[in-house]
Amino acid sequence: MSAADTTAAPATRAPSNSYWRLVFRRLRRNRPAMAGLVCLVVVILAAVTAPIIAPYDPMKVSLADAYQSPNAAHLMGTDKLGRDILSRVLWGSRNSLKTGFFAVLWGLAIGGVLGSLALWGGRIVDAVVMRFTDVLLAFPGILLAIGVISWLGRGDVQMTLAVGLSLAPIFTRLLRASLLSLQESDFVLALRSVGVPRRQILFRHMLPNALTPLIVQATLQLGTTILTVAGLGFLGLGPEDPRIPEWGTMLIEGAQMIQTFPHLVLGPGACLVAIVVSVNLLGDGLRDALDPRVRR
Amino acid sequence: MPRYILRRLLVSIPVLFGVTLIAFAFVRLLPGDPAVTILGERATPAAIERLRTSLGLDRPIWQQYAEYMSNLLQGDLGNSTITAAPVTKELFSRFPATLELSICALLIGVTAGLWLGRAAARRPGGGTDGGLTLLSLLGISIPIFVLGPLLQYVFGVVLDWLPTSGRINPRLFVSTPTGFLLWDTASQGEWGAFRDVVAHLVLPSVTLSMMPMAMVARMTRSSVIEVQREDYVRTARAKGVVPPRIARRHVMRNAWLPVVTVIGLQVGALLAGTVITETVFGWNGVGSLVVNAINQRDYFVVQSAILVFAVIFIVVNLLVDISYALLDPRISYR
Amino acid sequence: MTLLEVEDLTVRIDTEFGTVHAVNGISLSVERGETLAIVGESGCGKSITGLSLARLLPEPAARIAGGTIRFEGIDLVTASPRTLADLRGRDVAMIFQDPMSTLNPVLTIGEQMAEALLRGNYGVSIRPVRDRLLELLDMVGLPGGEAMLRRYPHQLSGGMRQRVMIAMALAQKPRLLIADEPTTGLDVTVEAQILDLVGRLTEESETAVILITHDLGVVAGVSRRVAVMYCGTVIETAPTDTLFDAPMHPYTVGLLHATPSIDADADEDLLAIEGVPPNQLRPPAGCPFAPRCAWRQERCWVEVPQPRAVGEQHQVACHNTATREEAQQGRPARLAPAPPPPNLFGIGEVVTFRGVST
Repeated sequence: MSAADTTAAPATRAPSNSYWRLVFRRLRRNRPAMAGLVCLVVVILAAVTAPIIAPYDPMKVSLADAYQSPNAAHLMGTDKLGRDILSRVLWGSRNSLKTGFFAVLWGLAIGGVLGSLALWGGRIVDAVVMRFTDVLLAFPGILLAIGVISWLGRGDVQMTLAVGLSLAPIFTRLLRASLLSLQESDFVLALRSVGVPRRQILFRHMLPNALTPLIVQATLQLGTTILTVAGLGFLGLGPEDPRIPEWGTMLIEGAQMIQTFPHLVLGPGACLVAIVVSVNLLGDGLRDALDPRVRR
Repeated sequence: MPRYILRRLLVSIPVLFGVTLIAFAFVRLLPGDPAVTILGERATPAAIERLRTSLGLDRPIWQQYAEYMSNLLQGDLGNSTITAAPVTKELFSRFPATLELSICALLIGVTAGLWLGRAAARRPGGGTDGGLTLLSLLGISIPIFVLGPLLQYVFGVVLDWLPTSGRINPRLFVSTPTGFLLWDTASQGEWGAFRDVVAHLVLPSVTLSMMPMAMVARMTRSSVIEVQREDYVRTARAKGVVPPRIARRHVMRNAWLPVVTVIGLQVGALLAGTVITETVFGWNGVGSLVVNAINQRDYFVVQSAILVFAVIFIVVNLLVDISYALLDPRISYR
Repeated sequence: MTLLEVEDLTVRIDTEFGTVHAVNGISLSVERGETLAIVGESGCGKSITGLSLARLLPEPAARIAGGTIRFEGIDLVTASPRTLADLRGRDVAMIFQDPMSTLNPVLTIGEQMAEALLRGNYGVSIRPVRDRLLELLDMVGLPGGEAMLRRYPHQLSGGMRQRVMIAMALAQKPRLLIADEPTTGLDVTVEAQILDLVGRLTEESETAVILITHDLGVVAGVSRRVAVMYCGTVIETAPTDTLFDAPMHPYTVGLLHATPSIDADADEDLLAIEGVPPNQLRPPAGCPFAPRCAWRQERCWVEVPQPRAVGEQHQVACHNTATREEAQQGRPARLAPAPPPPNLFGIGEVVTFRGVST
């Protein structure tokens, strides 16, 4: 009993250096998570260096080469305008990752503000904020983003704002719930009883603990967000300029021609799934590494 | 228990209210002059004036909202700006298709998910568990607009087993009084047509069921594993209760709770998923209606369809919360 | 024939940090209708021992690595799952610590008690066994009759829940009851009632009891024989009176001096045992108590003491047992410093492990 008790300590104490070292050690031992991380790093590198490594100009139309199946010159084949799909996938990943990343950040920002407001703004503010998140959550998944985009119009920034907003209620509730349970936890009570100042309790002890679930959730949401962004593109809400390579938009064309040219879906689809799988692997691994309770 | 249900009902009223408020604001707060935005730049000034009056844009905003709500409660959601037909009628005619698809997908997803989750929990960390974990990860990560076309290609083109688009072979003439084709064909004894309807349903509902299946499987797995470690399961073993009964009465009864929550949330994902699934499979439901409406800037249709989805989602989660009280005796006393 | 004969029982538990040597070759025996107490501090392996006796270890993480458990001649270590399921509840019953979590929260008291009677061979209704259930309620002193059967665990107090557990355990008049810290977490008055109840009922049904506890005070009134466990081994077994009068193992001496008693002088000091138990991931070479022992000699560091008989029903595993006077003083007569360990590396080091509470 006593042995088990002492080891629960890292979770209740403010995370220290050795705590994070333990987390990383666990993460390193989690092979699927490491595979996900490596894969993600490769994808990010590919996205960053797309202008250098992409074999063709992603916008260059060459009608003579339309609908080529994958071959030595075009590893993923070409689309209806003879554009190289691999190059478009590479360039498109820049857009996807950027939008996904900033949407999650934006969602975290709104969620952070609303969550703190709910916690420290008094009972009425809390009730209002919580009902507001209830209302936002009532529009499931992609629907809220569809509404916001058809309202704001199409474009990168609008897409980011719309998708980020639909993530906000998740982060709001998570932050509020974890801060609330920390506020009532024994270790905060203990800190208060020995006279540690409120500010220090909040910033040194509570926030770092509350961040843990937020980091995990944000990572897991990044995968969903990339899918949502592509899904919106698939519904025709992607970039207004059809020449810009965007995964969702590329997949519409693929879905329409699936009977004759499946390679239009295979290339971009496989890349999309690979990214989301690796993000989810990493997220699951992080969750297992950060939460001592799920260990056997 | 009745008090718990009543309290839950009361909590969902402000949410329903908020949802209508957002739907209302969606059209009224359109940038610029809403009437112009809705009808487009080329509309005649007379038409714009008419819409402006019918929207009541000259009156105070709260009156407009009151009017919107009273129309809503009478089932009047406005008219489509493209077809001029009442939106309510359009929604009603499309609704059975979406419901049929969603229910099939939910049934497939929940049944398969429960089964897979329990299979994986039997030996955590074993080979079956590893394989199924990977499978559910894939299920979560593969979007409908990739999986759908792939299934169409494999089962519709390469194997040529199943139709890839539509709800029924258009050359079959069956009357469809309810719009639920499974019911309509079966009740008329049109078994040939019934089989055709089922064949049309397979690919879209399997595609749509992938996400709920994966989520239910994951939650079932972790919940069952957790409950298996509970002290009362050990008590049951100490009493000499036989293993199948322990699995049913002690483990599953308690493992249900989080699984039911996930099912409720997945109904939301499912509703959102119909939008894309229906587009991929040429399914004439509310989802494809929304997509057409967005592309044609038919704001009233978008507004109403999103509202309907949200209301369904709220109702489903209300039902989920009530089912908690039935599953867990502790809840009604809290 | 002896009811229960445990020989050289060894239990290992796999954790994230390695294999815990939870139980290291213990031997015990219990006669028909006898009560044996197993005493030791948290983590000494007493609960794990109790669970192994009913084969309720959380396998495969925890497993019996050696030894035999003979219950009426049947070896439970090699018995088939079928045999075990038959035996549990009917011949060997168990009650646990923390009645909060040992009852299923979503089933009524009646449903759970009916299971103990019928062990799964019945439908949803408890009607067929209703009369028997009411008798059982009466037996353990739970009021309310029929209404009580329809209640859920969260509607009962800790003491009442433990009564339900006892009713379930004794429903079939088992021949052996393993009670694992049955009163931990209960009020002192409730504790007395529960112990009294268990004592009375098991006497009536001639059920043998293994009472596992960390509380020597509980032992005194209940059992005639005591086994003291330390670090996965039984270090001393003796009749209760002998153990209290003239303990011989230094650990038992320490334990007794660390327990307050009502009839002791108010100014008598309680002596704490210095140090902590050794790391059970890498058990030390010699006697596990050596690092904390004031009686230790050179050989204690290198040679594990084996149990030897020192009197009527009295066994001790120690190289240098305490005399009667030393036991009363709580310290060895010789005041020369105890010999230090032969090497300082790896001894007295504390490594904690997670997920296993022993």
